[in-house]
Amino acid sequence: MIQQALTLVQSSCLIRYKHIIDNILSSLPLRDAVRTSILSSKWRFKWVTLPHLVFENQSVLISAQDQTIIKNKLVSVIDHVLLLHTGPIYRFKLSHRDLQGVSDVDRWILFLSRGFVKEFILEIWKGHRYKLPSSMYSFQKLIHLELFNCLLKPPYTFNGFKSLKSLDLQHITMDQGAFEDMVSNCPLLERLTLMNFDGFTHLKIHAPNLVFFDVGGVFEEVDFHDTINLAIVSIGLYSNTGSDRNMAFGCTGNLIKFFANLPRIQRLEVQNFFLKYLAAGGVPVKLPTPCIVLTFLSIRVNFNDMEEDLAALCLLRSCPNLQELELFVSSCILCTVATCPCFSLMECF
Amino acid sequence: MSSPEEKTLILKSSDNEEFLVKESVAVQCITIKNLVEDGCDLDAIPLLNVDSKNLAWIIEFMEKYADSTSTDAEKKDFDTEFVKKPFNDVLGLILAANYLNFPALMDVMCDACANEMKLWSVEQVREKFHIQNDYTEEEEKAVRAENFWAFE
Repeated sequence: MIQQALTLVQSSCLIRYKHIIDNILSSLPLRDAVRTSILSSKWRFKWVTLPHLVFENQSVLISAQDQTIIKNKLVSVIDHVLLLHTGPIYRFKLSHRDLQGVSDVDRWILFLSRGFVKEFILEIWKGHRYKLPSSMYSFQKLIHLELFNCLLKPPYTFNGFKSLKSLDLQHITMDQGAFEDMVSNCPLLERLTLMNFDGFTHLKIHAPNLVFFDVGGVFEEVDFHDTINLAIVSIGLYSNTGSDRNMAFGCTGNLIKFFANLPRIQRLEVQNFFLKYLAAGGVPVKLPTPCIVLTFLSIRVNFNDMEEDLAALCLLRSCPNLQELELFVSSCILCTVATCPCFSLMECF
Repeated sequence: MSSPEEKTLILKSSDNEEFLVKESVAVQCITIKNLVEDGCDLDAIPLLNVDSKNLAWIIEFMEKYADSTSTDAEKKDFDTEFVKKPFNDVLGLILAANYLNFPALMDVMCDACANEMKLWSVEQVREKFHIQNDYTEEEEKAVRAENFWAFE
């Protein structure tokens, strides 16, 4: 009895706090949050001021089999929710696997551009790269932007997202100039993720506040400028682009150039063919400046490649305070333990 | 062993039990942080709306979250176990987190509350939150039509 009375008091108290209800409703899938409208007249419009709207398969259950019906219903649901919604929308995520059709997304982005969206996540699962409308580039309060399967072609008037701290671009297309401008015109950028991109091959990263950089794709060059705060780096070069063949005699090797602007690097992952890239242009015995705060190093190395061996050795000699090492060895089919270069590499410990 | 400069605070629950907590841990509660910054010089900080049962749990949570050596995965595991409490305790912790202005705890407990609600029918939600259904039949029909997709 006492327990029941206590729950009564607590729950009556709790539902009087709008921010608590908003927090609870925000943790529910959108469909369940909207269903609270049926609880009582006081609850009818509690969901409409939710600052976070997430449209994905689990949050918007659509009971239909036919693809076209599902797609049309989904568009109807999103239009409906946006029309009934009132107040600021700070977080908007659209990642429904049945979504097709670009003009609808254009319309929703235009609607959001009139507000103050801080986090925008768009994942287009079907069809070609979705070309973002120009209204997207006027999301001035954006702090986090995440795009999947999109084409970015900012208007010439676009001057970056001045509040953007986190940028996650996967399976995207944009041209070289647009990419460089995007990164350098987001002065507060702290996190950058790039996976599977095309349209640009030179990763010129000018970002003084960048702390985290994760890239996986096909590119020809990585260039850091002013990246004095970059602490966590993970780079995967998916194919051997053979940039070493283009290196002029006497120019600085990639390994030295790479670390020249990473004074504060703490964690580094070198994946796929990236070690081969780093080995191009000549490898010193040790880096000119050791990586004194590097505590975690992960390298994928092909021990049959002498240049990669030298690059790996150089790295190992250049991080005096290393605490954790991960080595991924590309298969060396023909060697035995005695002749395997792996053995001499491990001896430097 | 805490360093000589490490300040500790005494937090007093509504039922007069005293708990010793490092200041650096306790200031995750913005209410406490403000008291400290305003130069509160009481021997013990009285928390009139938090009983000892809740305060003990809150301190356990604060200490886990203040620990810089615990990873995100470890915190998630901790959260999963921490929220396994009867529903009225979950509500109690939400209210305490609100009173103490402790955002991390508030988010975890509201998430836990939402996870329970997902499993309930409309009637069960009304029962647990003591909500009186005051819709007429017509009004209820109108609400269902208004949000048709959520009721299909």
